[in-house]
Amino acid sequence: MYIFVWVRIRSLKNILKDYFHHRNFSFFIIVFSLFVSTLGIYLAVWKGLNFLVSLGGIGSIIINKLFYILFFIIFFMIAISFSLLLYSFSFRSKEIEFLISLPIPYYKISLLKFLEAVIISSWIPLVTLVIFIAGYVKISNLSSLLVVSSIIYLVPFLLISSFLGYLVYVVVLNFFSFKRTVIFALFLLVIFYFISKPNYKNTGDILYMLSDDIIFIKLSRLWFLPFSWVTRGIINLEDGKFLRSFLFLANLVSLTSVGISFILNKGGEIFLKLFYKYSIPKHKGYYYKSNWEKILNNSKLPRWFSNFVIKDIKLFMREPTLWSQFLIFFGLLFFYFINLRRLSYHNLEPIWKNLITFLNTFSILTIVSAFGIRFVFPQWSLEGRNYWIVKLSPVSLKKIYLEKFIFSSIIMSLVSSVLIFISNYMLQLERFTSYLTSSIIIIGSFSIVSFSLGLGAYFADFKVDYYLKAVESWGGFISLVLNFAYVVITAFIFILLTHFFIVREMPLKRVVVIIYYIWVAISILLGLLLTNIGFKKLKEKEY
Amino acid sequence: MFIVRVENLYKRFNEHWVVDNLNLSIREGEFYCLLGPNGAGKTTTLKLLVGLLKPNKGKIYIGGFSLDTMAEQAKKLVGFIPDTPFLYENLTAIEFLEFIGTIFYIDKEILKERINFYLDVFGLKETKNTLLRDYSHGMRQRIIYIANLIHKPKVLLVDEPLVGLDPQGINLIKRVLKEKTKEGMAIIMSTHILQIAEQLADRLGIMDKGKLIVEGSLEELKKKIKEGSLEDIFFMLTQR
Repeated sequence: MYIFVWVRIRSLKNILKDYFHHRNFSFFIIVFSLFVSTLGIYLAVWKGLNFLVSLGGIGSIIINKLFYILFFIIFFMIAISFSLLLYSFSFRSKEIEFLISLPIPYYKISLLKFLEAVIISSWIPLVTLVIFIAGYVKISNLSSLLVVSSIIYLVPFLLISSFLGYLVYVVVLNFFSFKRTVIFALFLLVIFYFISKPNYKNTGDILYMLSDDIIFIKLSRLWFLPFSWVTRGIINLEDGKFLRSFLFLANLVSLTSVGISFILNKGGEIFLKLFYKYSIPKHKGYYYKSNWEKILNNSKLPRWFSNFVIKDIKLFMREPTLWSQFLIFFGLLFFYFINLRRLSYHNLEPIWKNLITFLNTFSILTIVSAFGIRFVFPQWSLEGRNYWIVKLSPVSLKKIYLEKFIFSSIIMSLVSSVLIFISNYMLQLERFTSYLTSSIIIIGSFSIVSFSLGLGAYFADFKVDYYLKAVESWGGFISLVLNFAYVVITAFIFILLTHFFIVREMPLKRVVVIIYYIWVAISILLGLLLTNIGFKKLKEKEY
Repeated sequence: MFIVRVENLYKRFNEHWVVDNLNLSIREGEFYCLLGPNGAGKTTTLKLLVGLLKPNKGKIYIGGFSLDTMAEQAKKLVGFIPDTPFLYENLTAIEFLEFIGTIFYIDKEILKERINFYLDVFGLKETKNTLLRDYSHGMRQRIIYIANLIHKPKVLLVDEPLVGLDPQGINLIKRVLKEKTKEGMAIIMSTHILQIAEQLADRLGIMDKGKLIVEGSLEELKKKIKEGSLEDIFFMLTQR
């Protein structure tokens, strides 16, 4: 296995060397943005936890529950992300064919791809969790050794969640198709919604909201499930109960060992079976014109526009890892929002209701920004070897740029507007906050699309043949940092601002409107700037 | 002795038989050319021979090892040059070749010697420390040939070997491949260029619609089909 690790390390070293020697400015920007974003997240966590501590006893309870909820959510997020990545790495990578043609045992290829998917799906959650724990250690005046020791708990935790993703990947690919699975999962959610009984005991008391009567809170704290083990381990460590803490660590390590030994023993066989199933050339399948395509073709839209839109939709629909992510993440948000009233969030005191409102806005924008990176950013690179067609076509580059912007912005803003409408309706917000959050979502979606498209044009790499390759590039990383920073800053400004006014029982409107206009102006200017830079660079690019 | 044996091989995509009852036997040191129109099943055959596709029916033996049950041992004897080869773009040429050498457990000193020898033969010595992403198409093709020769395979499978090469490159590859067959390496090459097949092949096989419709040396084919050139034979057999 060491030779594969050597190849990865060597490649990384060569990339860094190249950047350091030939692209000093880019290197500096990347290091700087990495530093600033880490610091920014740390400050945001620290400030947020400080705020909770300032609330007194209730704050401590929230922090405790927050730990459980955070690990619960991240556990499943990694599992979903891992299974999609493993699918991409196993069946959308040219390296696989190369490795299979070499005399390498299949279990090694399977383990290599497993570890690769673990690293790619887990590094951001790992950094986020370490920062969160570091913030907690700081406000609780604990030893910083706790941060270091928490990593020992986090690594097996990440491996276990990846292993769950591995099981999902194996079951789905063996017994279902991607399409059927996603539809089936959404169908289950709808059924669950209709058969589950709403809890009418709740009157909006925040302590009740955090009690084990709420199913998700109860689930996140179940002692026999792995997502609670890290929190329990860390809390026991903090309290000096080392033996109990070690017990949870032992649980984590033993479950990880079971997962790894399963992959070592069965991984090769499973991998080969699935490779043969999914490596059949796709051109043997047949595709027919769909109704939506006919409608677009017969619409009054300019022909060049509808043709490019049809092409972009087709590319999206024929990449299962793209549309399934779209459905899963927006679907989960949708499911959460339609349950808001069942959770009695609409009965909460204004201060909490306001926090939930803007956290919902923040979560929608986070998903939009994630899709900005995965779907919008790679669009220029994916023109790839066909870019000469784009350049030679009688349609100007400006028009094609416009088409990509309109197409992506409309999809993103439409889906996110529907979601924020549901959230606002369920929370029974007054008109002003409702309008404010809706417009933040729409302007935010347009801005994120323009940032991602601009940076995607600037960093376009026509050698890329798969969208993840573009996403994993330096340009993708910068886009990720910028989009995420934009979302965090937006959420931070509006949460703090509205919270400040609610606590002091002052009328919101005037100051918030002024800040809102400034935010809109900055968003538009930044969007235009990146569009301009990206477009200029794209025009200069040689094929 | 036959180094490659293929017995009653079948491969189906959906309802379409891409390889239909293929039987092949290739001797050590033999240069075998697979010809056929687009979609005849040539590339699929090569992919089956290297384990990239699983046959629906049939057996493949390489050096006596079944590809089904002793895949690793069989693959140690094989080199494969696909039409669009994969390279680790962010490795240098020398790093990539070292990687290949390690996979095949070649002794470090011997590996160094072989790498230097082939870099010299293929004219890549000057650019051995250049990243592969900066290589031109022709240079990439050459590095793939080196990667497949340094472990001294008994069988070399080549899919469309000369695409994008300049005349010097074509000449070099032809010369190297012919020399290798003299050293005992069997070569199975899939190509559309009939002239190359005529010049290099000891035996030719023409495939159409998944079936091997005719096989033999150029002289045998000419006798059998009673046509003038390989081109005439090819068009006569693959007329649709």
